[in-house]
Amino acid sequence: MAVVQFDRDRMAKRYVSLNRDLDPGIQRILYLPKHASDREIRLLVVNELLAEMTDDMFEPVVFRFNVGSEAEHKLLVLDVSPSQWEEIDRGTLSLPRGWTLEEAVDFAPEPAR
Amino acid sequence: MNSHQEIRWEQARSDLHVFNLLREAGVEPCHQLHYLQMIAEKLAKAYLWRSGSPPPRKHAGFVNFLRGLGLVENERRAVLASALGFRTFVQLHHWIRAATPLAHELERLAPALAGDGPNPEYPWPHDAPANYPARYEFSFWNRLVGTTPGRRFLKVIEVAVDRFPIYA
Repeated sequence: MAVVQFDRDRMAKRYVSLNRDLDPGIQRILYLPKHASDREIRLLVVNELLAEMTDDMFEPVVFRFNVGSEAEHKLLVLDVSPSQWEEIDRGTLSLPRGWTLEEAVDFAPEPAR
Repeated sequence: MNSHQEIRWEQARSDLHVFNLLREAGVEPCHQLHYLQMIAEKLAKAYLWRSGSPPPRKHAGFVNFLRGLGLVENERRAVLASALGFRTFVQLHHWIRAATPLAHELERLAPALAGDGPNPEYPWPHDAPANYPARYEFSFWNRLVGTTPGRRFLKVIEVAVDRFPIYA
């Protein structure tokens, strides 16, 4: 039987596409691979339709997929408003522990045609 | 919180505990959706018992729960919004508007309402099963995973159970 190798970057792009296809409020998505484990996908999603929540709610939502299989992985998504993104970018709002913008892959909006 | 509310809330807490175990285990989405439905239904019934009278038995509880949150008395709005993790009641109200279609969709997944269509519990259609939940890709699940309102929906349900005594 062929063994399917898990490709984290490719899977991250699939989640980015899923978000872009389904959610009209998304402004940009950052994929943050640095310091994440090989099977952990961290996405920071900037959404203009997001109602800001209290600080204790500022944490990623976690999903696990295909546990026990070759494709096992974890998806962590941190949804932020545009103003929260500005604060993060300025360094006045901290990302969750262990997260960093270093080496971020920025899936900015596609230019209008 | 009256005793009727407390009984339903305790069961919702227990369901939430199992739901989190299922999420941690990464089991098929149908099982996670099944538990999410049960949590939403029990949370709603616990809240709707605040009048002291039993809410309707039918599956429309969670949508009514959201409506009830939006209609809460002025003096309770700040406490409610804060308990559910929102900075203001206006922001909570915006969330309720975004979440109501998801709540309808979650309720319609219940076997009793899904007719011969997809549901998280039984193969369908009833008379000639051709699909089963464990191998079905639920569009609702994709919205929970792949949209900000979906992820927020999950998060608010969790805190709504955890912090129920604050706003019950």
